[in-house]
Amino acid sequence: MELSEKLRILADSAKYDVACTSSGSSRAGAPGALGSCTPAGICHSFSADGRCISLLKVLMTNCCVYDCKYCVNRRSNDLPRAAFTPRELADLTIQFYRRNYIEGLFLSSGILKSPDYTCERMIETLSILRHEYQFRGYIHSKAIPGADSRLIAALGALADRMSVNIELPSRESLALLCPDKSKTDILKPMAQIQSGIRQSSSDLVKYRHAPQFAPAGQSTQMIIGATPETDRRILTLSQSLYRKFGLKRVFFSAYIPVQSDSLLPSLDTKPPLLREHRLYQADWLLRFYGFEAEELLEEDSPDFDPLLDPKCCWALRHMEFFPIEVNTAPYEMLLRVPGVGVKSALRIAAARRAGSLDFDALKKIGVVLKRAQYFLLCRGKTVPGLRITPAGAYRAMISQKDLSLLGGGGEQLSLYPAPALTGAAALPWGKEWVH
Amino acid sequence: MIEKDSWAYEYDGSLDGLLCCVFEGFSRRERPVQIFSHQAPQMTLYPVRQIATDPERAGRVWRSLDQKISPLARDWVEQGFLCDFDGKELLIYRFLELGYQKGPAVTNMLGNPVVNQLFSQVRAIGNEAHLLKGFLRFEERSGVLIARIEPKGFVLPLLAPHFSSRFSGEAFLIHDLAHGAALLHRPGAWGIVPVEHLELAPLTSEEKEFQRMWKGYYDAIAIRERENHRCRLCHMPRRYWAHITEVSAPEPEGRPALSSRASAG
Ligand code: SF4
Repeated sequence: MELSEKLRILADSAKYDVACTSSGSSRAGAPGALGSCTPAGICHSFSADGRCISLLKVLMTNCCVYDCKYCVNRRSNDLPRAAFTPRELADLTIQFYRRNYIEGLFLSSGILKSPDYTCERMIETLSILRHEYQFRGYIHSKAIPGADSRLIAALGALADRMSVNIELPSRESLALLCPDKSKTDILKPMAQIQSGIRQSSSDLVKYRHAPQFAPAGQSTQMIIGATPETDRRILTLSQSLYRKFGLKRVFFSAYIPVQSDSLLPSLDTKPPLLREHRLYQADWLLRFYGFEAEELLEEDSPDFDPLLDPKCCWALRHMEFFPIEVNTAPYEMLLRVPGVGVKSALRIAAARRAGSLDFDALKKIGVVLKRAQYFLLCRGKTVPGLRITPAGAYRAMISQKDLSLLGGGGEQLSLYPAPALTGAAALPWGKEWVH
Repeated sequence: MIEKDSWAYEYDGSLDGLLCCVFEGFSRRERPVQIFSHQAPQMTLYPVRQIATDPERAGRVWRSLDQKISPLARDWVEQGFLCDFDGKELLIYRFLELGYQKGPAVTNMLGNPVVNQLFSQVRAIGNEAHLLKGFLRFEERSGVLIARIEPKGFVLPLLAPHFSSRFSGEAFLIHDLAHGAALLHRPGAWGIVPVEHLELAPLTSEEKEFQRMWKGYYDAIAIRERENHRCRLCHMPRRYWAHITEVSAPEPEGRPALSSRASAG
């Protein structure tokens, strides 16, 4: 088979893995070596679905001995199969990298023969890159559940980031849809990676040249909408993964139907993109805004509002905290104002040190007031001429861009009191697979 | 500061030259009302003072930025000067007047129109350079990696450290068609030189094959069920496409030598 054909097949099989970030590692170039990493990562392109392309994302092979129901590569699916040799893939990565197409490699694999065998081929690929080519670009590697812990350790020593996909948000769903994998299979490598990262960072404090283990940390991914878990369950699970396993990122992947099975949503369901979007918004709030999962979704309304983003939703439920005074409010409260992001909050904090701010000054430093004005006072006053009505405020909170994800149905939605969150659950549930 | 009569300053278009304008204005205690370079002479109603570039004076002003204002303000001046907008010289001048008065606080005064405008320009050119670190594409032509870009702002100095470090072992050339200049790199050395016209060797079949594979990859990686062209355009605006291998129109067959032309800048 021609290399270009292999590449097409193995990219096609890898594309449902959502993580493509190249962030978290910082490594300058070195004479005689190729490549570098920047902490924020670099997007090299955007595909027709609008997602960033940063890494060459492929499978070592899409042959698989397992039969996970939601996965295109499952044993029982009839599709063209291919496999890279470690040499082919390493050379291709280098040639793409030299042309500045990519930041590096994202390597995953179907299970060829056994988890150990699969893992060894991945290690061989990465060794060629790191040792033979002195490649200093970014490498994200999947840990193969069920592989020997020494092999996982060897992978981690070559990669910048590692991930094990948690796949589905609950043990029951996992048992139902991936009969060959258990939650322990997934959590064991996750814990091992975490301890490898800890060990290597404490060694680095002691010895300057201690070997690095996945310096950009680990991430995971779960499929949204293949199974009946609520948003609250998913978000609390992510929160505990951040806390227990020190994950850098939890990715969500809206399920795209890949086969008909009585256990899965029907083939004509659309991927729940808005729901996935809301989960990402909430995930940001957990990681950068000091929110807790339990604050964002309460037990009696466990799913997100399709019309309002999670922060607006929280703010409208907690009007007792608002309005706050821009010139004196603590930074943590500025962060909780709808429409104020981390950058704006930092700018406000810097600018108010140079003098007291009014609304014009806020606009000048780039704070968008459309939403924020309902929650802010400058020198004790609201925006001149602003009439605050619940309906007006509610309307201002709705993002037209988000609504377009609902698929043009935006206009018929009533703008008045929030339709207590039935929307997200009523959205067509689709989903997706991956390791 | 006492305002005497109004002057227009004409300088040589270099950053050193602009710093000398600052030296001149401050030592004469006058405020220029217009500053332009010989390369872009302007009609003016004001008497014109020719400002000679003296590296010694420029150096004194340069060091004072760090000491009397802040390293951040110095970066803003340096990067603001790389921008393409009209009137950047006077804006930088006004920013420095304010900076000498207010000290390091000046970069926080985002409510001030001068500070704010310079800040937005600096941010914009920083973004442009950041995007191009990703969108720039090399083609290998007779052993040299060649890229072409048409940036807003003179970003080559901002790109140089990144690409020289990343591709330290390669010979490469980045041609800025919009500003008629190129960043040249070979292992151990780099420089930026004016380039008006570049004759390029034809693409080899090997190079074409890598481009074809990359395009194939690009098409395969998109998820059809999630297609979203508006989102793609907002992240990767059209103006970059002509030089992005996977979305540009292919080079026509049978036209071996491709030349790129640009006006001197
Ligand atoms: S998810 Fe992984 S293990 Fe399961 S079938 Fe797909 S490729 Fe195989």
